[in-house]
Amino acid sequence: MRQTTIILVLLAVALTFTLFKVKYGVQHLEEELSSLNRAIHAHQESIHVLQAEWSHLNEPERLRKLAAKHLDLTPLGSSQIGSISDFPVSVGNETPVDQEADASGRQPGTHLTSGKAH
Amino acid sequence: MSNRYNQASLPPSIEQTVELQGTRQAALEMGRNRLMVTGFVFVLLFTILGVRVVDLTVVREGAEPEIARTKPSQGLVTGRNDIMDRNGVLLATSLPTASLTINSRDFLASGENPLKAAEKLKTILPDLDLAKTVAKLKSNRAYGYLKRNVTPEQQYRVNNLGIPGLNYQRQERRVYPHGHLVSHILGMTDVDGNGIAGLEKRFDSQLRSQGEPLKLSLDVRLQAILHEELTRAAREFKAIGAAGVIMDVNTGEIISQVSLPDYDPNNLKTIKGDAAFNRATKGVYEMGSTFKLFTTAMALDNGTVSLRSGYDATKPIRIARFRITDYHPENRWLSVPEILVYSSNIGTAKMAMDVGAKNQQEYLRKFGLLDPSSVELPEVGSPLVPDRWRDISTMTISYGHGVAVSPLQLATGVGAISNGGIMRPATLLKKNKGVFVSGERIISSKTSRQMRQLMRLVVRNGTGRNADARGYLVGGKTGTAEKPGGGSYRTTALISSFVGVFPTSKPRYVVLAILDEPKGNKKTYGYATAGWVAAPIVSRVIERLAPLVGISPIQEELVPQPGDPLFIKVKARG
Repeated sequence: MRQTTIILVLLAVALTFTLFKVKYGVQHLEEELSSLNRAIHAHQESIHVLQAEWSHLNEPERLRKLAAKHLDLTPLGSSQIGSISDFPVSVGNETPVDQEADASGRQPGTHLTSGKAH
Repeated sequence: MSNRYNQASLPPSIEQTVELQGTRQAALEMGRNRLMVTGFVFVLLFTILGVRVVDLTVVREGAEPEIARTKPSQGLVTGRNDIMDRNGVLLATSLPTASLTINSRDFLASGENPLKAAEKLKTILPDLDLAKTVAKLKSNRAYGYLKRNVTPEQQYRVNNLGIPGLNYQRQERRVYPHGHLVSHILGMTDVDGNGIAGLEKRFDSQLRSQGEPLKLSLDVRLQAILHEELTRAAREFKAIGAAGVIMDVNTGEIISQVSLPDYDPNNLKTIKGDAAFNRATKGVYEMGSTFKLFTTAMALDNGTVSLRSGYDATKPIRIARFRITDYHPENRWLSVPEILVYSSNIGTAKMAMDVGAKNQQEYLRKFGLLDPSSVELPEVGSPLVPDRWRDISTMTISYGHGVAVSPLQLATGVGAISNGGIMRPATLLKKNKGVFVSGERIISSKTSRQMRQLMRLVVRNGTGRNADARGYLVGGKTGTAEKPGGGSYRTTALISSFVGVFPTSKPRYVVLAILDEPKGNKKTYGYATAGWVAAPIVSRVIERLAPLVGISPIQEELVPQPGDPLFIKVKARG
């Protein structure tokens, strides 16, 4: 009888202790959650501002000026576009002998020059 | 048990025992009964509690989530939705800013000198009006604006001044990251964030309601190309204005639309003169020879002429008090393709007379040239149409005088003629990729094919040669119109335009460029006509546009041979 009482009292104390521990744990987590949510919101706001800045920095007019200043490139012209058949066939591990025996029978390199000519 | 207890201690008399026994037993009985009842009640309550605990922890376990979830953080909420181009590039957004406000009562209570405080503020906020600021500081009111949109750095420095009564109010400011590049289409908002022009006005309520960003049909890269080329040409030929449109002929989407001069929507002080005026949609102009495309299309579609027909263009037409002449006179019989290629007013006027005034009106209405464009902008100009449609009107309208339309209407109409003959209204909103956009058939696909061939011919052999971007099969038509003024036409004030379609084999885009009052220079031998000033713009735009949209140049083109009605003898160019 006495033993049972002692065990029960101990159990009650242990349970109370655990209960409060869990409760405070949850409270702590909730605080953490709301602070994280605040941080997320702040980050979203900065992302929003940065997106606007990114778009502003990518303004084509500005990029063109920067490209003209720092790069030695000009806009692509139609004469610079060719098809894959305009290239010589020397691709891969084939030896020059194999190239000459190519099914088309064409000399490698001739197409590139003809592509330039028109 | 009680007996034995009694015997062990004091042996009570029988009478006592009985009496005692009776009383104690009764008390014990009662106590026992009460205990039983109480115990029973407790047992019952604990059983209920136990059942409830089992119910909550064991039975309901499945229904309760194992991990408690909170609502995920809501996305950032702004007072006004973003506007994006077709590739998701941000064109307009609302950014948080702070406004500096003053509680004058707090300020006065502190006993500071208003003038000194105002002077200190002005060192940080230079565009502050000193007298007004002093008045606000002295006003003894609890709330007043000092300065809208203060930057974080200014905020920090103002705080360091330690002036009492100053507060910040969180606000939102509309920002246009691309500045003047897309000014007219986006329009603008007032200081309180209400749309007052352009798409901001047209979609005001939609932008206010929380939801998806507005996705436009514009492509900011092509917008930049068109803007740059128009700006360059307008500067070169000292034009007072310019307008341009790039449209997808198969969907009606406006890919780019520029009007010059323009302004920076971030700073409304940049609006000078007619900078806020959208020439591409609101301005209506007599377009000149580009209208010959419509006249030829209606004559071919109607069966009035075939490609082998022709008209005598030896003598000017005299009608009423007018005289219709050719700008590039050939003084001979011209075939229908030649009339368009040499841009003969005489031949076109005769063709229009054969089509008839009634048919002409019907076709022009179908081409969308007699009603305002349905594009999603508040700034849309109504076309100017003659009150009475007389013979002279039919004649002059056939080559683009007598009806004034907006550049956008012209581009939409030419797009419909060249895309197979389907009219699709111009739109600024993005259509989903791969969705077929239906439209109204306005001319047969055969006529449309012939028109594409004719337009190609104009660029290859005719007035539009300067528009020929090599390899991209550009077709189009020049248009030079004299601007009306002082009761007649002014020969020095021109509207020079070129409308191009490419590739003519299977059209994808219509490109229109218009210069308002260009002046010829040495490079153009003094000419300010469309073939010299407007056609090169379209050529350059197409050359830069094609690689971006994945159109590869072709190496060879089928050229009409002698005997083909489309064969034109190429003259040496002079």
